Parts: sequence; C-alpha cells; structure tokens
Amino acid sequence: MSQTVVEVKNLVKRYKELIALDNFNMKIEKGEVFGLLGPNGSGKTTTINCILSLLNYNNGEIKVFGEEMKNTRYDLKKKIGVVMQDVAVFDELNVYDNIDYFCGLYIGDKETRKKYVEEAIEFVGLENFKKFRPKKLSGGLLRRLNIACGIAHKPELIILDEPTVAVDPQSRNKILEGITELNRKGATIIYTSHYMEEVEQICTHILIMDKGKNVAEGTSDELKRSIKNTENVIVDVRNLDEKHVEAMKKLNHVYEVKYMSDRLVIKCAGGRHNISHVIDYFADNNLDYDRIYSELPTLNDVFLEITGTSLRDQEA
Amino acid sequence: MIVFKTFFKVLSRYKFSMIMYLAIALAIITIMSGFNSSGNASYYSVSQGIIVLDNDKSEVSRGLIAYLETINYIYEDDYTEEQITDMIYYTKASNYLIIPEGFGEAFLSDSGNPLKIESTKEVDTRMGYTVEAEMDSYLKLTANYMKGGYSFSEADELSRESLADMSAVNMVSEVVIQDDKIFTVFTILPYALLTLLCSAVLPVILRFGTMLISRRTGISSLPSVKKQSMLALASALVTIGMICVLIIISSLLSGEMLTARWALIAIDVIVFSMTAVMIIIALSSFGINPEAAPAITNIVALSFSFLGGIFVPIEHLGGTAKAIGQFLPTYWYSEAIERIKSGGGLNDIAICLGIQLLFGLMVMVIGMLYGRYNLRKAE
Repeated sequence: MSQTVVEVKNLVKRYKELIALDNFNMKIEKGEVFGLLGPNGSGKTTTINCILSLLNYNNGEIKVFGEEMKNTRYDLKKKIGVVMQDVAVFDELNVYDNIDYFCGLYIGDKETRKKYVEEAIEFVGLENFKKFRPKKLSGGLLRRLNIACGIAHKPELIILDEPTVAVDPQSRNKILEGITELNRKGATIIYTSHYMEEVEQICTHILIMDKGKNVAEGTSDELKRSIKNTENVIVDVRNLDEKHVEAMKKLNHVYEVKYMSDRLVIKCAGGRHNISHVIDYFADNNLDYDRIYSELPTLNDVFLEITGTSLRDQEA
Repeated sequence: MIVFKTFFKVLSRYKFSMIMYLAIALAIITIMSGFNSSGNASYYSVSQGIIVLDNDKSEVSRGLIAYLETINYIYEDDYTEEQITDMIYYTKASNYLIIPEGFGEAFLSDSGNPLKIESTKEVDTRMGYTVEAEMDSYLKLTANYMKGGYSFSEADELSRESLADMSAVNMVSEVVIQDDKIFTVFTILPYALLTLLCSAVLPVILRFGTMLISRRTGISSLPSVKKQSMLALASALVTIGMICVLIIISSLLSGEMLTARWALIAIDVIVFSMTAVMIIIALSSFGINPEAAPAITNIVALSFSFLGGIFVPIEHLGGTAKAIGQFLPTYWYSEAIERIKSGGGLNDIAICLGIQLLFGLMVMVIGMLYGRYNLRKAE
C-alpha cells in the first residue's frame, strides 16, 4: 500500500500583487522520484520553500509524512534532506568539516556522524578531496559537496532544487546516477529542474508547473500521450519557399509546420508513416535537403501544447 | 555542540588577522606608554599658548608674564576678537588673559589680593585650567614672600625658583610616571578590542548569518534558539578570552594590578567590551559579506578611536569631531578613564558606563530591527 510522503493542498502564496502559487496541489508517494518541472519563475522553489516552512504562505495545507508541516516540527525536519539550488557551504572549512557540520545539525552522536560523513563522501566521490576547501573545488565537485551536505544524515525525503545548474556533463551524470542510487536505497526524491531531459531520465512521476499552477502531471509516457502531438518530423533544408511550407500543412496527420533557421519542423497527430509522406513530397518537388529524421514528442512539447509557450522560450 | 565547535573551527581561519591586530595594538600601547615615561620631557611638551593683553604694564604684570613665558608661549600682539576665537578654537592658545589697569598697584598695596585677571578659555579642557593654576600659584607665592619682607623683584625671583623646583620634584617622581602609564595603556585598549572583535568574531558571525548558510541551518532539525545560544556562548567565550588577555597584557605593561583604580578601569573595559559585542551583533544584522570584515575593522576601530579620544586627547579634537565623538562609546570610555585619573570613584564613572551600555543597546536594537525588516523583505 502506497504511503503519501508529501501532500500539498490548495497552496496560495502571494508577493504583494504577484501570485507565486495559485491553489497549487501536489501529492508525492513513498519511493517516488518526483520531478517538479517548470520554467524559471514558475513557482518550483517557492513550493519547496513552503514545504520546508522557510516561507509563510497565504492559504492551503502542507502535510509531510502525514503530519502538518510547521517551522517547529523538528521531528519531521530530521527526516528531510535538502540540496539547495545555490551551494551553501562554509568557505573556511574543508570538505570533511563542511559535511560534518551539516550532518551534525541532525545527528548528535559523534561515532554515527563520523560513519555517515565518510559514507556521504564516498557516495559523491570526494574521497580525494576531503581536506580541500570549497574554493579549491571545481563547479562540479562543489555541487557534489553540496549534495553530500544535504544527504549525509540519511534522510527519508530528499529535496533537490536544481542541483545540476552550471555543472559539467561528467559531474551531471554522476549526480543523476547518485540520485537514482539514493532512490534505490529507499529515499523519496523531489527533484526540481527546468532541464526536461534530466527529469525524463530519472523521474518516475512528473508534475509540470507554470505560473504557480499544476498544469499537468503523470509519468513521462502519460504526459506525452495526453497531448495531440505524436511525432515531429524534422528536415534540415536551406532556402525553402513559403509555398512548400503551406503545402506540407495539407499532408495527412500534419497539424502544424514551422520553418526557422533552415530547419523545418512538422508536427503530426497520429498516423504511422508520416516521415515517408514528407520524403515523398520533397522527391516529388525535386527539393534537396541535408537531413531528415523523426522524433517522438518531448516534455517540452507537452509543456508547449499545454501552456502555448516552450520551456526554453520562457527561460530566454 | 556542532555549531559551537564549528564556530571555533571557522574562527581559527582568522587567527592571522587576530595576531596581526593584537601586535598592532601592542605596538601602539608600547609606543604611547614609552612616550609617557620620558619624565620631564613630557611635562614641557604640554606647554600652552597664551594670548595676553597687558593693560597695566606694571612691574608685577611684567613679572607674571615673564613667569608664564618660562612654561608657555606668550602671544602679545594686537589680535582681533575673531583671531583670538580662532586661536583658542584651533588650540593654538589655551587662554586669553586680560590684565586690568592698576593690577600691579593693587597687588603691591593689598599684598596678594590683586584685581582679577580676566581669563577666557575653552570649556571642558584641562589646558585652560592648568594656565590659571600656574598663574594662581605664582601670585600667591610671590605675595607670601612679600609678606615675609621681600621686595617684589626678590619675591618674584624666589617664587620662580620654588615653582621650578616643585615641578622638577613632581615630574621625576616614580609614582607620577606610573600613574600616567596605567591610564595611557588602558586608554588604547578599546582600539585593540574593537579590531580583534571586528576582525575575528564579526566575520564568523557573518558567515553563520549569510543567507545560504542561515537557510540551510534553518531547515535542519536543530532548533533556531539552540543555534543562536551556541553562537552567543562561543562569541562570549572568545570575547572574555580577549578581555582577559588584553587586561593582563595592559596590566603588565603599566606595572599595576589589583589596585582600586585598576579595578575601576577593569570595570570600564568590561562595560566597553559588552558595548563592543552589541555593536558586533548590530553589524552582523546588516547582511554584510564576511569578506568585508577587514574594511569594517578599520572603519569602525579607527573612527571610534580617533573620535572617542583613544589616540588623541579629547581636548585636542576640533569642535565638530568632539561633537560627534560624544555619541560614541569610546568617548565615554575615555571620559571614565579621565575621571578615574582625577580620583573619581564608581559613582563618578557610573554615568559614563551607563551611556556606553545605552549606546550598545540602541545600536543592537536598530540592527535587529533592520535584520527583521530585511528578512520580511526577502520573503
């Protein structure tokens, strides 16, 4: 039987005129890797801060492990580990002492703490950097230290707020593998990001936020199935005449065609051989192209279809 | 205990700046106390400028001026009122003396009860009173010699000799030198304390108070009150340690310990330390970057020290500087030292101690209110 770890009901948070969270709802079950996806400013971090009682909210209800979450619920806080978006460590302390401090905020016993700190260091692969101060670490290693500080006390619920921002691919993979490993060991994860690929890769349940609202949720496949778009045919072609763009809109199952920067994107709803129809059109009209391929819809397409704008457009 | 232990781990990163500022303070204390122990030289170095308008021009008035000239510098030109005000304001002269017509005649006839010499001086300065005391001593002694049957010229000569001998006896006395040394050494102590607190304790508190660390600690299972208590306890221990070290060093340098006035000075130091800690707490509420601590150390310690009469005696400060100085705890610390020096007891310095604490409380409350306002703004 599933157990609800976090439950957010009708959460409202206002900053004067701005409504950051607009009757927001969310339910996270034990053992899930829950992805909170949305563009910058969509309310992801505000939601996390409200769950952690770092922010007061105007209305709504937040329950963690079935109990109402308040700033003074230290018993509940003990079960939560947080990896914040910005690296929060002491510049004056080395890697070991930093993890020891943050672990020590939860674990009083010295021996247990020592064991946990060593395990956290091993988990994030910082064994060779124990005596290094944060300023001597690269961006990726610093992020790993930040994660170690958040998970060293072995929490049941781990909240990771955009932990891979400005991280090199190698460190990013290491972090994502680590999150999956933590989940395998029994931790429930809340993972916020605006990187769709990451969310798709590791999350078992995804919630898409926009303007403080829950706009869609489900597994990655469920979300993709919920939209009209089933396939995108992409053609890299130079100097394509507008009349061809218009003509392709009339092909079977095609509902939208866009031509920008020598790239033609043909969105299809249903149909089995959409790419063949496009290739045939190019052949019939003696048109040359560099490359043609087909893609299944991404979470960005889901977001685009639901909100009318793309995640990346909003970030820009 | 983790916050307490981490406080000291972070503090250890600032040991170099602590040692550096302690060395600077000790160097200043040593140099200043060294100047003070040079006996007669220091006595003559405090000679005043005196503007004299001699309306009498008698033998007595010339004798008095000649005596004053052996100790001070005499200005006898015709100065306008504005020039005289400027000379006193800029401490070029400490007194403006007007010797009335008939002064000599009255002195000789009344044997020691001359007409009153009008003396204008800046209020609240020792220098003006010193000149008046010199004048008074000379006139009384001369009058006494004359009562003994000496002529004015003989009495004048004998008085000068006596007063010169008295000065020499006073200045070479061991006790007098020691007296000045304890006050000189302890007067500089606030500078040492402020630099040490600002360069070591402040950056550590600021580090714990940075938004990211504070938030990260705030979401942990450690109650905020417990965290704050541990930080306060660690800060208090460090401050007490600093006070003890500074008092011991200062006592050793001055060669005086466990006397009544030493105890009064120690109370003044402790009260100032409490005020300094409150200033540090206030500064930490302003969300300053810990990297800015060295700049803050210099700004706070130097401005408080100069305006509060730590490096330069209060009476040597200009009008504006002196007016500003009165709002600083260092001024009242120095004032308390002055009162102890003049033989004052706990009752005499109580007001100075009270004002120091009041300043600290006021600054701390402002800091905390600002911190709370910032927190709300951040939300």
